[in-house]
Amino acid sequence: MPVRTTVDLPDPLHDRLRNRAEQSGASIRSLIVRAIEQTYPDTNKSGDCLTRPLIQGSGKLGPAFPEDENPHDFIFS
Amino acid sequence: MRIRMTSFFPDLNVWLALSVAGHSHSADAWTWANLLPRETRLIFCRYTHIGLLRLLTNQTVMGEQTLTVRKAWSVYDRWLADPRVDFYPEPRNADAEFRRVTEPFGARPASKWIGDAWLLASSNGLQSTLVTFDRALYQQARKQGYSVVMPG
Repeated sequence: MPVRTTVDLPDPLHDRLRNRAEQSGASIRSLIVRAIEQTYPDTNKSGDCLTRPLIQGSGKLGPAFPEDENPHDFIFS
Repeated sequence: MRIRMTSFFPDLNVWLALSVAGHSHSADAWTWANLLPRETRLIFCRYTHIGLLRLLTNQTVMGEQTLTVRKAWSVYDRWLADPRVDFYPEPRNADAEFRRVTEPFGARPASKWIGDAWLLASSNGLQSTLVTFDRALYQQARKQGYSVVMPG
């Protein structure tokens, strides 16, 4: 059940929010809800913690498989 | 953004080591990860999220163990189902932090440090500890006063 709340927003922030809502076609409410969900994600998960790698294959890895460094070139290429 | 619980920010290579048994640091990564309490947060950001998908599906990287895009998504989804793992959006101060981290390299040509600097900036912006196997990154992070650990 939704809870009604009142928050005082600084004028400039409210202007930005209203402009964004007008540009995107979304309601101010939905923009606020989405921002809160993204900033404070749900942490109440009941699943199991992983304890070992998900990929257990024995096949040969590729020549560019990294050891110590982050392979940024593959991400930016 | 303020995060009160203990949070770690594995860099891209650490996520790969945690995901692929054949990684040379996989055992070290898991020895570390298995000691973490359930209340700990392991943070994915957009960069490590996209990066992991990219690496797992790249034949030059994964060789005979290359995943399809669908299977790579399932690996990512399983990570997110782990109660310790969460995706966090870009921190609000990321841009300023990114500039600050790259400042010591301002007089040099671009290098892989640009990518590492973004990871470090994101980690710090999310008030978490960077986790890396990259000795140079580890030392640079410490030199600049950032929170960083190297498993193993």
